[in-house]
Amino acid sequence: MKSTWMILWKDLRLEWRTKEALSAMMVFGFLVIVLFNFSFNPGAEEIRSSGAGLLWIAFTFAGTLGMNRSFAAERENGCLQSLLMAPIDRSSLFLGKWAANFLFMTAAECFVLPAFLFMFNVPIRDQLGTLIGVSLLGTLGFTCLGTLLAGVSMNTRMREVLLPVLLFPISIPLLLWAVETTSAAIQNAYLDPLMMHGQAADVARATDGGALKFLVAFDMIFGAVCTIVFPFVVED
Amino acid sequence: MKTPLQKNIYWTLLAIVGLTMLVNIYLALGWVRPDAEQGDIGRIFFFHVPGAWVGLVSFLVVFVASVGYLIRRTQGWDRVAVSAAELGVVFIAITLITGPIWAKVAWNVWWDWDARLTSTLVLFLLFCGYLMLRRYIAEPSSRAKLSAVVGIVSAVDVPIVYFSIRWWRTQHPQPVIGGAEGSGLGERELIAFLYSLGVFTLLYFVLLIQRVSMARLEDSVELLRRERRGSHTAAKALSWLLPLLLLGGLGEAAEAAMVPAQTAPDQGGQGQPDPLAKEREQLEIETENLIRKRQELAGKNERAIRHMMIAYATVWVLIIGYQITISRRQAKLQREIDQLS
Repeated sequence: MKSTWMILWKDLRLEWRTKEALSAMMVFGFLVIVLFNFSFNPGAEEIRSSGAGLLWIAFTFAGTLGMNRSFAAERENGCLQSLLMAPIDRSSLFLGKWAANFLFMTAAECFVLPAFLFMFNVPIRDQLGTLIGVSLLGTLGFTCLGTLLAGVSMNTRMREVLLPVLLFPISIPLLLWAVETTSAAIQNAYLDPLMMHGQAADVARATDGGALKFLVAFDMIFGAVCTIVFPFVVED
Repeated sequence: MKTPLQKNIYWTLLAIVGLTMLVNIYLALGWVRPDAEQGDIGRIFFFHVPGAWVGLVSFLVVFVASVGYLIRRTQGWDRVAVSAAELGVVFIAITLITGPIWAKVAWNVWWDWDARLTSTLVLFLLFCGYLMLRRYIAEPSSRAKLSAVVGIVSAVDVPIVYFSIRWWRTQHPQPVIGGAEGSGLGERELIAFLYSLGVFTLLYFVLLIQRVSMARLEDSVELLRRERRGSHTAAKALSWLLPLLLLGGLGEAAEAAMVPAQTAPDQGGQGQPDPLAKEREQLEIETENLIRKRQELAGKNERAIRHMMIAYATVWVLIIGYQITISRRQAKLQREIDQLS
């Protein structure tokens, strides 16, 4: 457990000093949103229907960018070898890396999400809690798979290119439900507050619970599986 | 297949499976009655569903073989895993190709982003990712190890992908067995369906044996040449699909071109006004409408049958093509081994 903290601390300090990955992730996520504006010229109607998808495309692309760095950086100067030689459990190496990736991606989202809400004038109000919850749960699962698969693709000839090819199909169920819940939250936000007391309130509540449970289950299952199989990825 | 005896046994097995597949065609195309709602196009069911089933079995095999490899660390488990993944691609491709051919008749679109279609596509992509990963790692033991990890994670993902069906709106026909009330199979259909499930599973394992023995040859060649060499069979098998899909599209286009030619009405102009003319005209129009409707229906069924035939041809070309591809590659590897040693 202590070694997990050490790995996490090391990655955080490294990032603090170089500010390489995080700035790239933020700028990239922001660019996705800007590009969306140019390609679709969206109004409130478009944001209601496809804003959630846009948000998650920005999140996942930025996250993939960051996670590619997480092991690539360790390869320089044989850092990974030294890490592996340290008398620590390999699972805790994974947990530390996962936590670091999770924090980086969340930090990027902390930048992208407000940018999205402000620039497209989404009246989020009381739906903000759901939105944040979904983002955190989705990010947790996504970085879990991403950390494992970044470790895998690091060992191939293709390196960075292979990560999305492996990661996106596997995380489709997660993204599906994250987008669904986000979409419900955004659509609820657009509902007239006066209507919330009537039928719309039922619509608003209906989509939330199941999807969040699903996200939690996904995170738990893959958290366990990835922690178990990760040691095989780095062994030699 | 080291000895001639084993080879003979294998080919006998393959011949038996081939014969049972022929019986399967008869059952699906002749013996079973047309579906009450879907008509003849419903016969695709007997290849479409077993294809998906075998794809799922593939994932189970990949999972077991991957776990087996990580525990035992013998190349044999890895060979089983890669073979199963490649066969999975072939059989999922069968489902993914027959599906749109059916959907064009039943839903009038080739593809719909329906949950089950999407999840089958995801399975296909998972297999593709797995096979791609293998081609980018040169060193055999590291390749086996990393692909085993990805195989396990992908296999765990499969039930999750499929569970999303239950929560997602779907217009795909509900599961026939254990599905919604009122659905279900007649006695004949059930027998034919179970038969085709069994035959497909048998076919799968027979092909698996051959593919594994090909992988063994591949490994020995690799060992002999000390040179990188990925397997291209899946890509080759996939290259069979495109022309077929194109064929289906051409048929559709030709049909669309033929429609205006058929519906050129002939008009007989009559100068004399008749008191009964209006009524007669009305009757004529009605009759014409009826005839046209009937023709339309007949045309629809014809189209259904044509689509189904294309689907069946696809299935066969895929399976036989894959078998031939493996056999040829096997022979080539054997020659290489002979040359090298």
